Amino acid sequence: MIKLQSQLNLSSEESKKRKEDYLSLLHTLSEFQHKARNPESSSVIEKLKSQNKHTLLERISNLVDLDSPILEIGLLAGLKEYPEIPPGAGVYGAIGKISGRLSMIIANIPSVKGGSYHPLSVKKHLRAQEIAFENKLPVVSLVDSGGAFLPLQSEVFPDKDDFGRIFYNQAQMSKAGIPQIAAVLGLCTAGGAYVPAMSEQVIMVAGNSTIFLGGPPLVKAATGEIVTAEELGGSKVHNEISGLSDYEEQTELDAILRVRSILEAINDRPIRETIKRSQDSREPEYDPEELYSLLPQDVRQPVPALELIARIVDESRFDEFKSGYGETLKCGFSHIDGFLVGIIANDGILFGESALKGAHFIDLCDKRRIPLVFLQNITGFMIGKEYEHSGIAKHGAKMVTAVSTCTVPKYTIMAGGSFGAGNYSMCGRAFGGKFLFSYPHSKISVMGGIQAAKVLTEIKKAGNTKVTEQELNKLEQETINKFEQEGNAFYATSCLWDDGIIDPKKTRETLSIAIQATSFDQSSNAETLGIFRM
Amino acid sequence: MSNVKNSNSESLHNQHVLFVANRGEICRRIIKTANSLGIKTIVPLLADNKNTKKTLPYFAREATEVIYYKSNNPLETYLSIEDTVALAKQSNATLLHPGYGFLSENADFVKALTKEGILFVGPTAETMERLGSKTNAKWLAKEQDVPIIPGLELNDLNKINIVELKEDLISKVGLPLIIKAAAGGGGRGMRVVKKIEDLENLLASASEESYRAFGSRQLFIEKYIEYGRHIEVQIIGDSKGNIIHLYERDCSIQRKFQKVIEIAPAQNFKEDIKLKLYESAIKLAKAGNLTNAGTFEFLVDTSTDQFFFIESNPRLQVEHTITEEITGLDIVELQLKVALGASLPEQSTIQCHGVSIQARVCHEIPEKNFLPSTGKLEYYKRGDLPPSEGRIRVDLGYEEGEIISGNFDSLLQKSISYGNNFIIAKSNLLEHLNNLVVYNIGTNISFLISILKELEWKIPTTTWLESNLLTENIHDNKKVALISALNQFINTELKKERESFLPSPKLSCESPNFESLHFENVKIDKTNDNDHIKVVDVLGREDILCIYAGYPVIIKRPDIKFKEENESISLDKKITSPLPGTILKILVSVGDIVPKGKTLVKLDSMKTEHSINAKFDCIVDKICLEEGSKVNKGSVILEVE
Repeated sequence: MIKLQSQLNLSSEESKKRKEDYLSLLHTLSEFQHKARNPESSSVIEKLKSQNKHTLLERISNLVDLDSPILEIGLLAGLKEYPEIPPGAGVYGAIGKISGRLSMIIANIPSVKGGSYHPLSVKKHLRAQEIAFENKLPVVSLVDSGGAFLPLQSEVFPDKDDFGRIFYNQAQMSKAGIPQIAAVLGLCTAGGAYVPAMSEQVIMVAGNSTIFLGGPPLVKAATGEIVTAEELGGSKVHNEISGLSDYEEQTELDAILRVRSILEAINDRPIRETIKRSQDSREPEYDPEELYSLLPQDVRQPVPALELIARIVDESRFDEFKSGYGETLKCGFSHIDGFLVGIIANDGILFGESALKGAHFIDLCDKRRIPLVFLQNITGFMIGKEYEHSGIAKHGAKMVTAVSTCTVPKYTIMAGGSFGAGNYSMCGRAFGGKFLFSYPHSKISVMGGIQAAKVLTEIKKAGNTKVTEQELNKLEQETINKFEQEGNAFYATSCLWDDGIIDPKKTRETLSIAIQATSFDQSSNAETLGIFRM
Repeated sequence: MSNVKNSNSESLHNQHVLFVANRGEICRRIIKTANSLGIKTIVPLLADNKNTKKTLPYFAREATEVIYYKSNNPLETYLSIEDTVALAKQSNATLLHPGYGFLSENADFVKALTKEGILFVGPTAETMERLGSKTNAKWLAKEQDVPIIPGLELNDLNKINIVELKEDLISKVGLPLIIKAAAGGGGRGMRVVKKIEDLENLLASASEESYRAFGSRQLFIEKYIEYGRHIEVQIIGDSKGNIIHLYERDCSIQRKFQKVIEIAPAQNFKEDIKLKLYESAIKLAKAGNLTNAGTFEFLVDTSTDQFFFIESNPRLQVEHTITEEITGLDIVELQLKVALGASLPEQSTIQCHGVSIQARVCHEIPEKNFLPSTGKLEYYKRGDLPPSEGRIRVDLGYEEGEIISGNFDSLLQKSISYGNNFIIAKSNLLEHLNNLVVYNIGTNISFLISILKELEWKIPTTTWLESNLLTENIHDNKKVALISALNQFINTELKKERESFLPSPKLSCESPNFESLHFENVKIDKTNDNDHIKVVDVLGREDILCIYAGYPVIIKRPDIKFKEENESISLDKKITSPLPGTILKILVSVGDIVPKGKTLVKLDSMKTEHSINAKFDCIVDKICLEEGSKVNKGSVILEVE
């Protein structure tokens, strides 16, 4: 593979400015992340200590192996929707290594509205389950939840992808042989009770955990029976009387250690096919931190794709495919942390040739069982008479078809703009990628805000001749603002349109964990047709 | 290695069979030389070793053959003349090397061997009687005008008038005094008398200890020299009457009269006194007719430069290694060759180069008053230095996986360094000890490191160690330093592997040298930053084995705490039937005091007998049903208090 030669001038004024802007953006990101990971106030921490309970991060830290990576899922979910609570929507999701096995950890955050489920909490839980299901990762639930968040019950309870889907998934995953362990570390009421109830092995902490469908106040209201929480559904009740729980531990730490010990004995059957490294891992030749000097805040500024790739892949080596054809899409092979991948990166607007090349390359990787990494920075497909006549929609469709139907794992990084059909051809959220992460400066919308405003004002003018210039200006500005706000990476991550925002410096690391977490059979793919040259 | 003039040709060696009447590192060391000379070796092992025949003990593995005692008891094996001679005879041995300790200084043993026609690699029985016993050796010294420490000999404690003895001692010898076992060595049976009132008690305990260790109650009392250096001269003689010295060793660093660290040659020591010591030693060896290796020990009073002969050991010594390092000779080889009739090289050909230091690594725990630590040697790493950095010799008696018992000497290995000068030899040894890992057996490695660190070129006296490094306080300080280093390690080093936002996980840390290690409220002492925790290995999935200043520490997840049985038992006073059935027998009567666990009632259910036991200590208060009654689950059978 060829070693890429960077042309980036780190000492230019522009580079310095970009780095400065990026660092300040990362500062904002890290503040949000800190809040999401440390949702407990100092008074809550005091209280937890007195109850011999731990904070969220202490729980996670005790649970995972000493050398475990952590790949957080939807860390900042609800950041914009629920400004009154810490980011994360009351649930923490992460992939970590427990007793040597990568597992999905789903932990309720009891200090956030009693760990109750908001609509985005449900969406996040379902996404974590989806990842676990697809990749056959054992699921460890640290349960401490009061169930549905009642004020929003209509958005949480009734629909297909609402609360009930969590339990449906639990049953389906169990059927598929995916181990599911629940450690009950607090109160589990109503919906919260079903997470442990539907798990395969359940651990409770003596005196510090309860499970019941209706808590003592509801029991009293419904039947008049007066009963303490412990008598109703404490660890003793469920371990010795109801049999709902399988292990009773004396402390929360013991319960966590019990999870580790259970995972040691799950018997690794060949349900999970992991991707093997094809060579030893080697650091990129160019420092990933240089990405800060490369990436502009304004996504309309071009970013040379090879500069981006040089700071992500092993030894900065990249074997480019069809370099002289369809030059606005860079395709080629590389290693990320020793894993062989096919990389598709935007280097400008998509033309018919670029789309054909992309389709060809995806087909190639699919046939050879090479995972695909999409570095998405796209304003869209070229438009205009010439291009429509030459069949750009048809060529674009080829690439979208290839992206949609290829069966190798796909990983997407939102590395700049993501607009229109470009999003589709570059494996946007809807295209079944394994993971999707965004850079904090990235933007996403059906089209650019300015273009959308122009389109809307044109339509308005065409439909109503009496409209004033002032009204049009107002509409234009409102549209731009709305697109700006809703197209922001923080808004996107808040809505769980991605799996999280990452520091560009950590792209290689993140992709590596994502690849390791993936279950994928790399054996041959002989049922499909041969490769069509396009 | 050596340039001994052979009277026997090399080929004669392979007709010999050497019985090594010892075990551990010295056994292995003797075998090594014998193998290099082409002499076959036989090693006696304990009866228990027979059961694990497939894996011979490490020290015996290079032997040509092994043979087994009938017992495991030291007194019936390595210490038994009868059994050892019988095994040597049975194995057709022509030679026997006793090593050190055990029967190495027993004249009767030599006689018994001679009777069987087995050549003893050591002095004659006569020499042994003359030089091996302290009393006889002192008489010899007196005859030869070699100064000895003023003192008295006590044969029978019962016949002594203690009042007269006290007066005698005060007038002729003076306080402080020291009591020693006449037959002893290695510090056993020794007592220091600082106040004359204590004499009686100390005599009694010394006598008892001497009897237990050596089978003799003979004692000495002599002047105790507080600031003295223990300097010994290595001597070897041959059957032609040649006697040469192989320079001296400084063994002043002692704990309870046991040598801990030895240095050759003696540093910062006057040349003229050295020469006098060599001369005296050779004189004594000649007078004692020494025809093999022997050591003559002297105490040199640092305040007056006077020297006194203390004792001689007509055998190979633990610390012979450092003499080998500085002379380039193999003492065991010399012993074997002179025993077979070879002549010694000329004194003038024996050169001394550089400095060698030996540290005795023992499986005893300084932090627990030097209590022997026993068990399985789970992990061992030799602590080698890169060859460019220095020379380290390790004489080891065990290997990873072996069980270390408390039945024998606690010497685990001897670590011997060499350097062109003392500073280099010392830093080589320190470097080695800092990398040596012995787990999960407690050792004195950390103690040895502290001694070496304190050790200056000005060599201390025999009381230095006791007065400087053996206080409780130091051990407490070390524990605090260890905990703070662990804390720092877990909070910084270990976290490098993890996501930086994760707090430190809950871990437990264990070291065989300390009972328990706790983390709470330990402040990190920035001043104590010389020592760092070093990761040695990861055992199992993620148990991290580290060393810190000679302490092995394992960092691992805590174990799940199991609830105490008592906690879960409600003191239910009603004894109920756990299942439906018939009462077969009621085993208690009203008023009986029943201890926890005792069977109260026997029940027949589904053709199976069930016992109902007392869950706590109780008194039977009431019997509610009688034998033969049908019961349901939950029926009350007894009431207790």
